[in-house]
Amino acid sequence: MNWRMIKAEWLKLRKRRGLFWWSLGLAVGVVTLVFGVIEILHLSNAAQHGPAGGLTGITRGLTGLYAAAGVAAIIVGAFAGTADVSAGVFRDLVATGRSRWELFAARLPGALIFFIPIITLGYVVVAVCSVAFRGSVPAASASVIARGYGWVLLATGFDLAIALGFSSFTNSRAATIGVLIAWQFIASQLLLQVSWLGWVRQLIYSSALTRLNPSPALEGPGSRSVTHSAAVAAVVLLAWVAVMLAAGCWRTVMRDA
Amino acid sequence: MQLTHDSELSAPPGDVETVIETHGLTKRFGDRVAVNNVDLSVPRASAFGFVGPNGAGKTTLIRAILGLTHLTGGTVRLLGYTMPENHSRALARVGAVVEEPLFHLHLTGRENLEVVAAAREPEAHHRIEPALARVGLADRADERVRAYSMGMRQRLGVARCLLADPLLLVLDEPMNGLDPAGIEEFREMMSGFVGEGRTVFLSSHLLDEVQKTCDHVAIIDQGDILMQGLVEDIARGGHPEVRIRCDSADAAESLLKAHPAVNQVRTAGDTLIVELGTERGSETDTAVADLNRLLVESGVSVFSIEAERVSLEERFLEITSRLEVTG
Repeated sequence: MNWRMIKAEWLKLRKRRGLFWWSLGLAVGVVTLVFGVIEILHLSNAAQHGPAGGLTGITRGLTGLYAAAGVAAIIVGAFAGTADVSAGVFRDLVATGRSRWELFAARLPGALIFFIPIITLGYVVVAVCSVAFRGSVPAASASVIARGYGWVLLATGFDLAIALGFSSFTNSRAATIGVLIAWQFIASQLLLQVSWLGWVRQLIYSSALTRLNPSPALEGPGSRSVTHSAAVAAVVLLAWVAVMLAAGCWRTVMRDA
Repeated sequence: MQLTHDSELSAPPGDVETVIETHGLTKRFGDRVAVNNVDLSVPRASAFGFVGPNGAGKTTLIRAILGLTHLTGGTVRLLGYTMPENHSRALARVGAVVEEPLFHLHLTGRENLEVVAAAREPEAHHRIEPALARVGLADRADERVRAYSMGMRQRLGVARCLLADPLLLVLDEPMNGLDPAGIEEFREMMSGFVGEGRTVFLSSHLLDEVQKTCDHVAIIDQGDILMQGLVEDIARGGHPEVRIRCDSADAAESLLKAHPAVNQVRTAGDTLIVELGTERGSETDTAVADLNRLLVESGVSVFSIEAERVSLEERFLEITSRLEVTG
């Protein structure tokens, strides 16, 4: 792995001001807003509205953070996968003699280095708010907070990776963002409710991500529409990432520059 | 400013005299033949012009040579390495601007060079500042490329090539967007590169510029190489001619016809047009001096004597129009 190339990928993303501020807004702004609104409602009418924090708060925060930051991850992945081709510099990079495989391989770590601090900041807001605004309810333990962070990294990193692979394959940023958001937040959620699909629903990555979500409120039978083991969920996620990245890599290697 | 640590560039492996060599190179897009069975030979340390009208196949051929597109047929050797098998080794010492120079517009000039330097060997990073200085962009390197003029982008494209410390520079239409001063500056830069032992392969549809900048040329049209060789040979399309104005035209004509270096003499008004049998420029210069001496020593007053300037453009039009007639 070439660290200089990874740094160059990070530079390309970091210098896109619009992408940076949108990602920050989605990852940090949305959860800040959600916790703020709920806490204000709680303070104005404690009988009707519980505190923003606590175990429920961190579950709600994780869900909200993943929903918003998941969109940001897809957008970042789409930019990372298409940056060189859309700018027209892909041929100049190929003309350096560097293998196309290496050019592709630098994209994912570069994008993750850009995105992880942003998602971390968003999760810090979730963790701090869940403790600070817990009121009289029990606060999330350090273990739950740590596992929650791991899950958010996994889930958004997964979204970023498949968006990067898909966009490298299609060479279309707009199509990638549109298709993946529609699939993730609409189509797959509908399919998960179709019970006659049976075990096939285990292949839908949204259910696998939900399976690995450590939020206390999701524990217990019947809380998920599709049940499968953590190992199967992990295999499903790995398979999705492998297929998407392989498709993106194949296109990068085979396309005319 | 010299970019290499050594004053002389290291010789490429394999055939050191030929930096680009293609045999039967063919590229088809479906049924359309973009490049047809091309045999091309580019000598080392030359300024090689590659000319042809828009759509003639120039860029496709460049892309095929650099391994940016898959070949339909034929072979390519670049700096002595077979392509595409050895593309990493060959392209490590090649700098190329294919079509227009494109960049990440949201990055500065320096950052764009950093991105490309990262894909090259570690030493490339140390060449960024000298390259920017050489193309005259050191003062504007921290501005976003979005704000650059076309001329500045062309120069940044050359700077990007220099990151490779190239033995071969491949420049596709580099004069586009340059003002006359910029073109002159560019021409001097090209000649500086050749002086350092680098080869410049310059694709253009501006025939006059190629004639002024290059010593070798290949003419391509509709995917076929019509002609290649020294610019002066192709431009004149045969033997050089000299225009002489003098008194005693009849006596002068007789004297000139008897000279061994003269093929034929014809008159146009008060001017004698002398076709020489010489092949190279140095032979022509010697013959012209000899004819002048002969006339003067024979009592003929010579008012003016000049080599007839034949433009590559005229020659190109002649070749392509002949092609249209026979086609």
